Amino acid sequence: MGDTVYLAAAYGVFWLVSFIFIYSLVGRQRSLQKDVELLEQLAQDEARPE
Amino acid sequence: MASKAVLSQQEKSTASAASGLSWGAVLTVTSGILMLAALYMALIWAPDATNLTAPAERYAQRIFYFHVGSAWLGFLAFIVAAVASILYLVTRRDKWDIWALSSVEIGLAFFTTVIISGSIWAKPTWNVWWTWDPRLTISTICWLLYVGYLMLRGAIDNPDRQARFGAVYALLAGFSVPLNWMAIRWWRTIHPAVIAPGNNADESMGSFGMSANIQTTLLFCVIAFTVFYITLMYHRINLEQLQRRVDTLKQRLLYR
Amino acid sequence: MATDSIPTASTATRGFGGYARKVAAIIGKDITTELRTKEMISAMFVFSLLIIFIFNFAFDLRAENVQTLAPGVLWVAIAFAGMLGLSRSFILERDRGVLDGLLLAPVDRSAIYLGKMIGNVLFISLVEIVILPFFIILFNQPSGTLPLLAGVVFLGSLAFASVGTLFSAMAVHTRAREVLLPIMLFPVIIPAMLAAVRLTSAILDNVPFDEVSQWLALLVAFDVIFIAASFMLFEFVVEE
Repeated sequence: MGDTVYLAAAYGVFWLVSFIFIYSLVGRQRSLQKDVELLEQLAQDEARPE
Repeated sequence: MASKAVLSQQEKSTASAASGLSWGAVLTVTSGILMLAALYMALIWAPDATNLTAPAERYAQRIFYFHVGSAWLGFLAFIVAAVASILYLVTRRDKWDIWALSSVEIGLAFFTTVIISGSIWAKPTWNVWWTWDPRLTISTICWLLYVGYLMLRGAIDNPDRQARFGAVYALLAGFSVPLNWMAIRWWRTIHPAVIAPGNNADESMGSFGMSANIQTTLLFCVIAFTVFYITLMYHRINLEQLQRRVDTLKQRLLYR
Repeated sequence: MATDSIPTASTATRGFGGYARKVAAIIGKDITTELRTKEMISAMFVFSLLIIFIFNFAFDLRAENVQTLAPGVLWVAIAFAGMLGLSRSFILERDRGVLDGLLLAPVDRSAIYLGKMIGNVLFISLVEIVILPFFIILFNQPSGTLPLLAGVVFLGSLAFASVGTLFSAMAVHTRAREVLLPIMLFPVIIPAMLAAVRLTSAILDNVPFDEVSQWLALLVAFDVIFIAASFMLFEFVVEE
């Protein structure tokens, strides 16, 4: 245990940072999706009255 | 994945539709497999380094594979960013700005792991968390340089100015990296006494013989990380393109 | 001055002489502005003196450690004071609309860069060369080293101002303004700072030149590379 702790820590940090980065990409993607839906809604609302 | 559906709706221009199988999915699965294989090779398949006797040091040596892989990915990302910046200033196409920004962001994420894993490796090997070893120092300076890049972009509202200033800064930062490298190396070799633990032997301390299997593992890691970089770039670029389109649409719809 | 510039404009726009005259005009403008208030020079001067004093207390400098720490103290003082000057360099221009005027004038963009850069080098190296005697007295260094030190200070200031002028022009267009300048500038100029510190300590310790010639080469190379790069990139920064 004591001998592998550094190894585990280093690989843990690697995967943690990778997943945080990928998660941030997914998060940004989600918020963009919301924006797209909002924009679609707006476009539809504007199209209707005409 | 719902997010992917949006992407493929929006990105008609990408080659995804033609083959029926999206490039993104292929890249993601390939790099996932490669990274897991690299992990297996680094942790289990690769033999112990023969000349390291202390168990802690022997295990810690395996940090090296992903450490070098990340460093390779980081430098590749920064080189791509510098080239994309030049191309942006020459052609003024948005595409290259998107490339530069995406590449810097990815490079920065992996340089963070390079610095932290290097520091973790230094503890059992040199018995300190941090030495002013040239490689650690230059990695940290690179990290700081490109944090500056993101901060600069973050402080500018005008997108065109963001792209221009970002490109100019990325280029100058790129010039300073090799000079930094030279300066830090000379600094150390001329004045080894500045560093307390392990003086002249410091560079060789913790080094190990590279047997064939170790080399194979390292090579495999570098390839896996390259594919990983391409995958991340692909997704990050798509995201940024989508982001910019949404921003333009928003402005068109909301501020008429 | 204004009457002089109108008739010469047609003849002086072409050729090296015309270019040099434009650069000189921009330097002249900066010097005139500065001489009216002396704000920047006096602030930089007092600030560097303060830094030297603060380091003296903070490190508790004594005869045994002053030799290793003095060059570092000098260059931290120069870097911080230079930062103070650089951050002001384009703020006045922007707030009072001078930059728009300069950009409208029939002047090559690179001439604006050269003018501002040389102005900054003059201010920074002037202040620091005045600081040098104080430094030598306060740190009890041999006074014969003054001319060589002044040379290194000039080369260091050149490195500092070369890329600093460009970044300063960028920083005024950001929301954070002068806060961003040190964050951008310091990592880029680390090689020049290291070289300058090494050369300074070599001069103070009377080390033979051969041992530090590579540092001089590095400093000069830094100056050349970054002046050339900033010179070419400046037009991308101010185009609007």
